[in-house]
Amino acid sequence: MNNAGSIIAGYGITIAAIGFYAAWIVMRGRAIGEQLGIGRSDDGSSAGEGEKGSTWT
Amino acid sequence: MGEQNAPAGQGPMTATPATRVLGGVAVLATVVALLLGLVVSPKDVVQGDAVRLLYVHVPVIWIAYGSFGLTSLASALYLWRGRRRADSGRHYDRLAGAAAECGVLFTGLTLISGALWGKITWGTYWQWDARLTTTVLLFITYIGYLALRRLPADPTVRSKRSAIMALASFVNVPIVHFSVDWWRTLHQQESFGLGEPEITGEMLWSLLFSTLTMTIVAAWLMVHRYRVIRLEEMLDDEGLCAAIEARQAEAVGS
Amino acid sequence: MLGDVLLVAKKDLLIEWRSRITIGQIAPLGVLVLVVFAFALDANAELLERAAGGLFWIAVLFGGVLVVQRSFDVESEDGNDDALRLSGIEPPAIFLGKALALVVQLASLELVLGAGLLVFFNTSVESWPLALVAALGGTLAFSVCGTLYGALASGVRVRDTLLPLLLIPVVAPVLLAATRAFEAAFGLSTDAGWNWTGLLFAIAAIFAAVGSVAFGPLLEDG
Repeated sequence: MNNAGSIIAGYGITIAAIGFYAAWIVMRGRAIGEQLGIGRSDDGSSAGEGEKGSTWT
Repeated sequence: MGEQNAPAGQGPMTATPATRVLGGVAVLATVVALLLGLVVSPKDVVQGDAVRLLYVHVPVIWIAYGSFGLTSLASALYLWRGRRRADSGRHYDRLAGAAAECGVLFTGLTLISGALWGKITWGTYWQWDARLTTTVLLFITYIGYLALRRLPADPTVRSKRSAIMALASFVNVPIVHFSVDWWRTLHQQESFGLGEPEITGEMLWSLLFSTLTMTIVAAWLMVHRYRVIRLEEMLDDEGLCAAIEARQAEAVGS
Repeated sequence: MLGDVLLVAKKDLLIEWRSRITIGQIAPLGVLVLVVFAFALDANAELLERAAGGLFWIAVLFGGVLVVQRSFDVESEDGNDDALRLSGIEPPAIFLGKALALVVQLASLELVLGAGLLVFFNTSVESWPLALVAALGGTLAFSVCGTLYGALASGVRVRDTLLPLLLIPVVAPVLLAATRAFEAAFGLSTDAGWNWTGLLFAIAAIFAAVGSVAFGPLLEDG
């Protein structure tokens, strides 16, 4: 691998890794959010209600 | 607030207006940083184009150190202030975890970008110099920390032990740094000599801007990771509530 | 406080004496490790002699992790950890007592390994004082680190894989310094062996302090 290749690889891997991590975080957030959303309507308990309405701290 | 704004049919997301702005700025900054690093910045007199990799390698390790410092600070706060609070200071613990994960990612990138830079300047991906050796140990140390954070145990026990390990690591990392440094300066055989170049002018600006970009990106990552950790806790709590209710239903029914 | 430390150490050593795990199983394992190193290095006598210091401490590392695991196994059996908490002994004393027991156990392991070095790797010791003091320093440092991290990883099924992962980065400087000191003691290098030995005692002191403070919160609710 020549020099240009190394540089592109360096930048590319960095951006890709950060991008994948960011995407993973967002997708995991959505997945859990869905799970919590479903859970909330099923058992109808008020256990989660108060928290859901609060702003993210 | 995030949940109420979520479009119907999609679960709550971890975004808020503030973080959307942050994310947008991060993307813009990245584009500018790429331009500066790959196009605008001139070649270095000694290293040639290899210096462009330093615009990734140097900021990334600074961010890693900063993240681990944040982990240590949050852990100390958790142990000394958090546990006396009514909410048991879980936000300190979440911050410690989010920061450490970010730190591990950036340390990994440090090793990769450093290896690629080394390939160009030294002709080899690795050498046992003080900095590389210390960085590898740092990487594994915090991978261990993340493993401890997933300990199958009571959440309070888990958080407490993680916090203690974070502080023990805060003590250990300088010890590792010192011993490895001493070791390698005593055995300075083939000193590849080339440290980092003197960075001035456009190169300095590129480096500083890159650092700023990385900081913004890391902040975005940490905020969102923190929120997801909180979601994970909520999920665990609800699982616990459901299990308790099921148990109570059993008792009443039978 | 000293009395309590000795009390806890005596308890651990008594359990060890009755079960003979370190002497009966871990020491032979240490010898095995030395033998396997000979296979790995193709029984190259010159190479083995040069590497003897490092190989010794790697063998100590393998055995030491097992001894640490054993040290905390005896606590989680039969509600012993509750008994310890209720005993009224100060957590720092418990920490130092367990570390002291580890020191004794590791020392017995190292005696066997040392004999192995002399026999298998043709090690010749130029400076016995340096070798012995360095071994003491390394053992103290390893023991306090092992006790702290053994507690962090204790009581869960993943302990066996988690403990080495957490412990080795922490004892890496100990291995490094101890090996350099041994090489100087064996006349294989002109390094300042006593300086490296000093570092070992410094690390031991630092982690003795960290562990003493950390054991309070650690023992609280388990």
